[in-house]
Amino acid sequence: MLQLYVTGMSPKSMEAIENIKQLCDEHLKDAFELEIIDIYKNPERASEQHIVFSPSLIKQLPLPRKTLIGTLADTAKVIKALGISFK
Amino acid sequence: MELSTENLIDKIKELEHKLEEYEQFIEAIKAGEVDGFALNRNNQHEILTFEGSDYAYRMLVESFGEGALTLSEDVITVYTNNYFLELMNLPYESVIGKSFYQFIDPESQDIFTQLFRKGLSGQSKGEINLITKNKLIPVYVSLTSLYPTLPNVGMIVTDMSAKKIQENILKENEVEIKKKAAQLEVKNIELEKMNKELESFAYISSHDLQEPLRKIQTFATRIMEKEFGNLSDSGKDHFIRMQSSAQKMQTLIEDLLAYSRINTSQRVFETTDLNKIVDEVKEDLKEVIKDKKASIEVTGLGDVCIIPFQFRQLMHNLIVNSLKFSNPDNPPHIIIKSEITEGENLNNPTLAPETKYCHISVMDNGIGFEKQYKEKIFEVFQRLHAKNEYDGTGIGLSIVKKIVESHGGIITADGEPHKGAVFDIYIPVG
Repeated sequence: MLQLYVTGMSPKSMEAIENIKQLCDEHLKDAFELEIIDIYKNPERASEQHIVFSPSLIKQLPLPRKTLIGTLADTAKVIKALGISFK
Repeated sequence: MELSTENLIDKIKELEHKLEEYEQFIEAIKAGEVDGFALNRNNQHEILTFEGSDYAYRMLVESFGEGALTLSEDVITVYTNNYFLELMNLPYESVIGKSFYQFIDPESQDIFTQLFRKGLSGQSKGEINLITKNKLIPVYVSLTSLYPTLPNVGMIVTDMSAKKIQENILKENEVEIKKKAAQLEVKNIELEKMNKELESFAYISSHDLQEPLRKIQTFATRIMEKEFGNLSDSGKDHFIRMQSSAQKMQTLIEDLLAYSRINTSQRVFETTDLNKIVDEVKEDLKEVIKDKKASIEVTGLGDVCIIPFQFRQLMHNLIVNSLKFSNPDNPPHIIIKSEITEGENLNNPTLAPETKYCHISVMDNGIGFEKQYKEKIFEVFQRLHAKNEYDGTGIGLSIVKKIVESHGGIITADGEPHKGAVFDIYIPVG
């Protein structure tokens, strides 16, 4: 399960959304559930998860929990960090 | 605190993971991939973003096709976008820092005050009229409170001019339609009045005509009975001709009355068994049927929604015709058939293909008629034969046609001299 925390229409937020979408479609398919949360709209959830940076990608499951920040442009790095093999 | 080797190895692994993660954080920040921070200052959540990270918002507000303004609590415009200036055809200096009320049509100002108050505490939407250079602009405004961050109200202004024009056109059309409807209503009432007048005219004239006629017949009969012996041969002949003329006139008046009644009388549709109707007509005509040794064959007749008394008249007239116009050497044989099917399956191009029709056909083996007359025979008073050959008023078939039309249907006739005739009736059902 993946959660992407963004800040509304900020440029990097929008980039990250685009990138994670592409990533999910091409490499993750049905392996991961993706949730996108706008911390402007949902500040409580951000503080629950102790989000500091935006954009932030949190892998909740499978354990261990992992955090990645930034635009997620480097596909290879993201996939490695999430611990999955290239399809 | 003693830690086993295993614990130490696990601890190291954990620290390695954390380090990896933080290294990624630093890399991303250095690369400028992060533009937002969620901070927790004195238990207040705050979100900070870099300058330039509101670019999209700004573009949205600045350039899109709606007016966007920020108003202070005192309804002073502290921000306006370009669209609003274009809409009002005013320069920036005339709007910024000025009260927004000066742009509102005096009649809309109270409404706006209400909307603004509601907007201060949350959100509000409504229609008002703006005024600029004596031109009224109908707009839809949507207000949102920007509290607590800013002591202001944000407002989106949507131009409704196009919509208003359309509404006006619709209203005008409505007025037109109402006028036309009223005119139709008047015409309807006139027509109904005329119908009623026609009905009473037909009734009165036939009644008034029939009275003296009856007298003539009665007295003629009495004279025939009492004085027949006293009459000369030519006198007898005159009397007989007189009686026969009176009888013809009687029939003519009855037929005319029936014809006029078809559309003026109450049209009550009932689901009726056609077999019953045919049986009733056969009963009425049983003397003639016996005389002529006629046979009537009936197939496929069922229940149809029709006006019973009119249909009885229709069947009566058709069967009477078939009996009358029979071949002298051939006893009349009449076949009455019926089916219910879609227009496309029937042999008539004027029928609607998708509509269901009840198709009734009445076929005989009589003297028939020439194809060129197949429409003429339905005309009032049109006879194909001289009066002395076959008697009748020449209205019978016109009555049949009128009855069919009264049911929203059509009737066609086809015939071959000496072979017979067939009448096809199509009544829309369902």
